Amino acid sequence: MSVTVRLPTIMRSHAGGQSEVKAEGATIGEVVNDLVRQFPGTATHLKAPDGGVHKFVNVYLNDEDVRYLQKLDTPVKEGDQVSILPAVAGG
Amino acid sequence: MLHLTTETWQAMVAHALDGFPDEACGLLAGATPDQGEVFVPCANVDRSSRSFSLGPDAWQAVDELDGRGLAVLAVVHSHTHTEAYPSPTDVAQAANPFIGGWRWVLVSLKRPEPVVRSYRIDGEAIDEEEVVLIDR
Repeated sequence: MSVTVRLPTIMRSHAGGQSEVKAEGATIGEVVNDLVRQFPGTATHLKAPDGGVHKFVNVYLNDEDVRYLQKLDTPVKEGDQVSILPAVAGG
Repeated sequence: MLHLTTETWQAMVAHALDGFPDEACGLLAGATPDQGEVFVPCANVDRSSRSFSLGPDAWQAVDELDGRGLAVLAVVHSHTHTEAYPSPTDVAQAANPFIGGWRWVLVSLKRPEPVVRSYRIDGEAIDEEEVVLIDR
């Protein structure tokens, strides 16, 4: 499955300056892993030490936050848009 | 020192009041590092009186601001029942590498008269800077 992944500004320098890239996978987790495989520099901001997604990152599938779907196990379809967004929050 | 146009101050306070009883959030931007010229109200995807999270609309706004030659200076959010001072949650979240250099601007609605204050948070250190209103 090929999907489009939108990258936040801070990650674009690790992907040749591109704001959107293509990545492969059947789930969000696989897409994230493929992104890191293609662009290893994104791992710093994307991956947590436990292998999950960094706490300061949210991943959206089309317009849905995957935390409210099936997280990294959320399936993706051909042509879906995945967005990597900084997770800015407070209280 | 953070300079704010009166319009920007009013827009931030109005958005905080609109969002009440939930916390409201948004982005403050400007063409120069110390002058907030534009406030972009954003959705609080938490829809909570105790927390806020920026959502996709905020990042779309960042790209649009960039296209206009404006940089984000601060993340702005309201405290509905507490002072305009960063909460422990705010301090923990300020370590976010994606927003390095951004100020934290707080709008408190605790009292009848809203209060706006600006801070830089570096680790556990919270440094307030003066907010000065200017006429454009």
